[in-house]
Amino acid sequence: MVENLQRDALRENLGLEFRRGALVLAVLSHLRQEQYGYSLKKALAERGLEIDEGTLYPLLRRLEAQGLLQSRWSLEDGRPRRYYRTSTLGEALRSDLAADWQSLARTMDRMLR
Amino acid sequence: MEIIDRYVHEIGEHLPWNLRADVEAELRSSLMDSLEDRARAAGQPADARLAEAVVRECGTPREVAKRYLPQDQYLIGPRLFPAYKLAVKIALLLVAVVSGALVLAAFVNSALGHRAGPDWQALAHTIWGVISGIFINLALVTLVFAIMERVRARREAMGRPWSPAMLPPLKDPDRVSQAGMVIEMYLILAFAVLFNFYPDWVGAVFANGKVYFMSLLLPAFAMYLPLVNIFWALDFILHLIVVSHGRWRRETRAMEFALGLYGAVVLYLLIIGPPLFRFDSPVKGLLKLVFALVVLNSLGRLYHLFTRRPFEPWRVAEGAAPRP
Repeated sequence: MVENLQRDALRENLGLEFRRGALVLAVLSHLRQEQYGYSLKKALAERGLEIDEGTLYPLLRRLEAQGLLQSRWSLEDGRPRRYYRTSTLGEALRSDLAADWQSLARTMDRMLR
Repeated sequence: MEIIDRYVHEIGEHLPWNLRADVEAELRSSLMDSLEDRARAAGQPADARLAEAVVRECGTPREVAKRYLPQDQYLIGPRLFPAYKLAVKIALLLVAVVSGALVLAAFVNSALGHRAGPDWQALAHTIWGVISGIFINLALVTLVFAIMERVRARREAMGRPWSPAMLPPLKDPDRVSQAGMVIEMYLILAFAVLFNFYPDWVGAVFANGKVYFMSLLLPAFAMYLPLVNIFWALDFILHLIVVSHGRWRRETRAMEFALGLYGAVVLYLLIIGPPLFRFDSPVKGLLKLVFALVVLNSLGRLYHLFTRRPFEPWRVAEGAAPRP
């Protein structure tokens, strides 16, 4: 029982490391079309990538600070929403990261056989 | 929804003021969207219980706020922390030795000199002085290391690409020990604080069977204190520059030589000046010895400045051939 708990905790922690890298690529890919934070969260969840607001929004801020995203505020139904979109630099990096990801996936596929 | 407002406000409390309004507005909006979606899916009204579930899944306010901040914010980072611990131990050891002597002297003095018994007030005063000395020393060590951390972070941000040719030789007289330099910086600050703010602590004398607490420094010394302060300030800055470079360079060796000359001049003025110290003759005799050593040391540094070419890894990075 204790071992199972430890294993689950380790899986959660170690799995977080490679999910983090995947998340950046997923966000840059999805934001080629402008979206606000919550709609992006739902879109990612529909594709199997669950992420909570406490992780997603700081990530969006960080990517924006790095020049990979652009944002604007919009007021809709009395609710302020911040829309994000991949910048030119973000799009260039996205395609580099996508190539790196595919190469890594092929390598890992060979190693895991 | 009150729970969401309270949650978002609490996150904002842990953020810098320039981020707060923006982050709170965005999070509040998103959490409300999430709550409404969940209520719609569950076929129930968006109540406090559902709001609590939404907020719980985000994480604690502190964890969420931390993710908005730059990832490596340290007062003293992991690389300097071992040296910091060592410096704290050395500082506390110095304080313990000096304090122990002072407390013992105070106790002996009060026991010998007071007819009715030990002078507990004087003893308490001394102990209080020791406690405040501990805090002052800890603060000085922490300040020095916090400055070092900022300098190191800036140096790494501007760092040149590394190459194996930049590795220094095995026997390298220009290499600096970070811990050693920081301890020296701490001692400079400690002496500056002692001489400027606690001059009465500079001296205790045992005579005629009694211990007297008296400053070794006469009032006339105050005239020369600005010159000594300048020396300490320049020495501290020089240490900071050398630490930021990671090694001595020709320029910093030249500054060290110039500072040595300045120090010799200040010593000379102290020696030829009016009586500045209680027991002026022996103290000035000691200063003459120090003066001779400083002059010899400066001459040695001048000789090396002209005869030895130091290893300069940054020139390797700039494309010049490395010198063995």
